[in-house]
Amino acid sequence: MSGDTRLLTGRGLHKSFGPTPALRGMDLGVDAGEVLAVMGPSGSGKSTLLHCLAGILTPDAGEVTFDGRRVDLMPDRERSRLRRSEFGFVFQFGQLVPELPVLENVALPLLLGGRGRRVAVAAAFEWLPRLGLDGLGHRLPGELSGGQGQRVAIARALIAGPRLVFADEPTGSLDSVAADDVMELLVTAAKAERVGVVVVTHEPRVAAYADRRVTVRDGRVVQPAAVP
Amino acid sequence: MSIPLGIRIAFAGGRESLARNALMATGVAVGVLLLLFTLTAMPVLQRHIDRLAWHRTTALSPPTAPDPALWLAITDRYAGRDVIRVHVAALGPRPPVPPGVDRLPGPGEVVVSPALAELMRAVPDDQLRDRFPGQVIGTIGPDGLIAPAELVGIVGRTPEELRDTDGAVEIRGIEQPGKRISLYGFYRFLISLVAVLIVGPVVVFVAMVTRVGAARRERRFSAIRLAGATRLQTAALAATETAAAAIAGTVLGWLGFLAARPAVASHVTLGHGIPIFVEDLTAPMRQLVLVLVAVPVLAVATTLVALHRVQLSPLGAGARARRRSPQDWRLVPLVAGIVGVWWSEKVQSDPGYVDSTLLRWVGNLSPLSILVGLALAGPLVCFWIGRVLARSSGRPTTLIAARRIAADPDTTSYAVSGVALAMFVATTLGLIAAAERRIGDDRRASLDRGVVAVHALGATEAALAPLMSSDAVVARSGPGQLVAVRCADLARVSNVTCPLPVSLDGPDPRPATELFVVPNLYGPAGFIEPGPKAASQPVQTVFVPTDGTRAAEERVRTLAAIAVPSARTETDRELRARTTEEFAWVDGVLPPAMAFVLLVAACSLTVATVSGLMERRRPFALLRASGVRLGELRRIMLLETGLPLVITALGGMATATLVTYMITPGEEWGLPDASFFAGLGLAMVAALAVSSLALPLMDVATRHDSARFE
Repeated sequence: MSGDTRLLTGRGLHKSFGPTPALRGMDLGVDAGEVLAVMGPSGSGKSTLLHCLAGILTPDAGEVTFDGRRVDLMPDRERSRLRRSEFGFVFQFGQLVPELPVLENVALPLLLGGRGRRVAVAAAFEWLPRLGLDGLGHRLPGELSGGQGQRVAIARALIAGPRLVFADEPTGSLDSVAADDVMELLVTAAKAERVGVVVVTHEPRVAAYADRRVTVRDGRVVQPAAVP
Repeated sequence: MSIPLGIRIAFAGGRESLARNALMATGVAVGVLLLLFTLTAMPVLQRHIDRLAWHRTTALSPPTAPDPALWLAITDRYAGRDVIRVHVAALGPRPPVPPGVDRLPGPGEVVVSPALAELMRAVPDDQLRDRFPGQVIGTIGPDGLIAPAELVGIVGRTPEELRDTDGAVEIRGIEQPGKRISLYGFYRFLISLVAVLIVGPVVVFVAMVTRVGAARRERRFSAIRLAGATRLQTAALAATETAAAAIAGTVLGWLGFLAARPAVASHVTLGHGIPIFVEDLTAPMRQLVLVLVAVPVLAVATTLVALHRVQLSPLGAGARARRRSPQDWRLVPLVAGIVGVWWSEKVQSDPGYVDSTLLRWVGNLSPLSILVGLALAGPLVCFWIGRVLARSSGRPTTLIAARRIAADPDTTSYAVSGVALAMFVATTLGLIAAAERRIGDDRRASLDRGVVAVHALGATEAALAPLMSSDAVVARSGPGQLVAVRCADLARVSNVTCPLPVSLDGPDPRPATELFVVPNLYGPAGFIEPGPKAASQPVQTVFVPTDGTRAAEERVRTLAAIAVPSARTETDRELRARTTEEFAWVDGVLPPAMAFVLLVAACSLTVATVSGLMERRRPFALLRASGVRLGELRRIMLLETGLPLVITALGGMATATLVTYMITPGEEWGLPDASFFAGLGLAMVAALAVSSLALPLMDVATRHDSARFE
């Protein structure tokens, strides 16, 4: 890891849900423009780690620093702003608003940021061909295939020009062809925009797209390793 | 930004979004409609009292004109309906004038209400028209009527004629409107209670409607939170979405109220048997504005409260904490209320009890505590139902229903609480009315068929000559409000048994009392057999037998009105009805009030059923896809609503029976007849039937394409 380019750092992160500990002193850093894969079996704490790093959950102990700012100490309003402008998200499912057509789903971060609808939708429109979504702009999420839905999520994650995208099992509900397709698009687009990506997965073939991989087990990082 | 986006999200989801918002708007419209009609209750009564004002004119009424007039107002009857007859004589050029007429009719002139004019034309003169001697010169306008079909006439007389007439008084003014309804003590509490009972289910219903699609909404807004929306933005989006439907529903409800007023007014009779004026059915402006503002606000507030969990985390429903089970403290208000009723009744039944502030507070608050307690205990009862059902069930469908009830007893309870409250109120009123009727039955006297009682109140025998046939029975005024009458003669025209009581001070007044009571005017203190000088005593009442036809009875009345303008008359049917009329509020108010509350409850139940189905269409569709039969899925829905409905309704009835038993003296206690309970059962079945209208939706909602919805 190179300290000069470190964008996001989690140190000594602890998080429990009731009596069940999910993170037990986790340390992790993400560099700018880096694609990092967090691997581990189910229940190992990898999704909780991602949620803590992204400011969705607040750790019980430890600190999360993004670009020199303590995310874990930020008020909700500030964290919302961070999620809207600095971060992007691609989850396994449940991230698209079912009532909004594709174009408006993609434009949502801009709309929430105060951009006018026409400007936001125009920006979203430019993203569709880049992700192979031509002609699907007016469809509702319920009318898309799983792979198409994930590509919409990628477009939405990148439209506001974030510096980091968090992807939690982004291919979990896809077949291998669609999964490769989604990962290819995510990594290519992220690299083109110089955006870092933290991808949580338990699939080695997904992790293979990463620059670096870490493995977590029982709430701890057990295997930091550089990608050959 | 949030408002246009909120509207966009609310209506951009295609048919399902439209259906959801239409359902919410319709529900809010129904709620507003019912609330507005509820708010008209007190104004209708007030307007009624205002319209009645001039009928209350007495010698003590404040001056309204420079010159006085003589005045004699009589409540007569025709075919069971009240006929107001006012004799007037001006004592100067500018006498007081009642509302609805331009001037006081002069001697030989008559003004009548439009309905009376029509009736006069329809029946022979000797049965009605002759009671109003003179020429009809005009009609009384709406300002002078309590209802469009009121029968009222004003007869102009000479001062000399009225001066010699018993009961006529000199007035200086007409009683003016403005006397406010003043309800004290028990009645004020009762009205408040009824208002709470009616408004409560409506509020629950509106809250229920705004929860339609709540789970989907939670997921949607958690997704938006994930995309970077702040709490405030999410709240604004949710508020906009709900407000759009709620405002549309409120406007619809208001328009519906305006459209339904004539139909409703035609069924509101206020005990007179004649419908009120449509314009009297008006909600006060301040309360109207309050409802039109408060309902959308309530809807938005309910939505925001429901979204609270989503606002906590962008993970939304996925991170939702398990609901806390209802605690036993929920039974405390119910038990406290029952104990309070028992204690206050026990204290008051003690002959040496002294009224106290504490006793009054406990007496007033206990019923309210029971009502609140019933609502609070609902989720706990539903939770128990779910657990017991889960333990005893052997079928997967029953188990699913049981777990659902136990997992979310609040929603189940909201859905059925309206019916349970309605059953509590209906049973309470039914049991109280049964006890009251039992007292009435014991004291009831009746005239033989066809007998007309003419209460002549001191008229001379000469004046009554036209009524004096050989069959007539004459009762005369005795000393000290005693009635002098031969018991054997009285028994000839009535069901009384001899001997008659000398005094009525005892605990068990004999039925004969009823025959001489002139409401608000006279009631005998006892009876004596006529002495040798009885013929010189003034006449009290003449009982005139007829052949029992209405024509014959009305002819007797007309003769009485001509002979003694102040005479009151009563037929055997009217005397029997008098006891019934005392309970008219039960017969007249209870069914529509219960229908109203049940309607609201059934609406809540239907919304809850549809909402529950919409929320779980995907798991239901997956169950169906994996081989569960449609009938079994419907059984789950039916069990989820039907079982809690029946059990909580029975709980409400049991509570009512217990409370009524405690407040009713032993000798008066008794159950209403079977038809009452049959009615309650039917009401419950009807509520279930209305809610089961949602069952056919199960087929559409769980078709295989729903399995991959979203």
